[in-house]
Amino acid sequence: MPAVVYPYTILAGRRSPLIPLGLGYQNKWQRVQAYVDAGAFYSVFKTDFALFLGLVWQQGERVYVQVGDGGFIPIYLHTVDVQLQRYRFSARIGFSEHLGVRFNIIGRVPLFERFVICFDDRQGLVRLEPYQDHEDTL
Amino acid sequence: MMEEVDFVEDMDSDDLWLKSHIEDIVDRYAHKVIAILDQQIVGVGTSIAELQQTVAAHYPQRVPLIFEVPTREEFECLL
Repeated sequence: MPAVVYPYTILAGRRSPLIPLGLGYQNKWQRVQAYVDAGAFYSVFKTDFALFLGLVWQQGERVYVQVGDGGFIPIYLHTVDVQLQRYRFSARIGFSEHLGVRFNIIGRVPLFERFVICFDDRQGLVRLEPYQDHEDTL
Repeated sequence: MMEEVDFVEDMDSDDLWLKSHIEDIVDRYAHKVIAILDQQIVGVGTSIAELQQTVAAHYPQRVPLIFEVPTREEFECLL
């Protein structure tokens, strides 16, 4: 299984690891950009994406995550399909109406348990190499 | 379980187009939401939900790339 490689988004010299993803549910798909955040345990997307897919986001498993100002926000976990280039898998994704940044966040669940991820700042690339024998461990 | 399967759209070309035009897009569309399809902007809205409705009506069989455009400051001040 070959690696997936994306260039950083570069704005005013600042490099950001934004990658394109597909989110799917019952054969309905949405394409979004997400910020690869190695410091985030969960992935958090805006609730509008859940609504578009036909999910009632409030019915997901509610967990609280701590954000930068020390506060806690609720996110609602749903199992959706995720497409990363040619790779497709089912994963737990969080949705929140309290995500205070304009970026969707893709964290260790589900990305880092399925891919070895290299942030290559010198080349301006993020490289995702799939594990050959993935198991959900996190 | 992970499988290899083609997506309904080319996953990379719109992403590369967005990244190559990010300076112009941020200057022009900060605080807006844009939809990109076939390396061009096919919709602009003030919210994700509004844009999804508009684009779905015009491109019912397609899956555009939705991007909420940050400001320069938001890009530069990310942790």
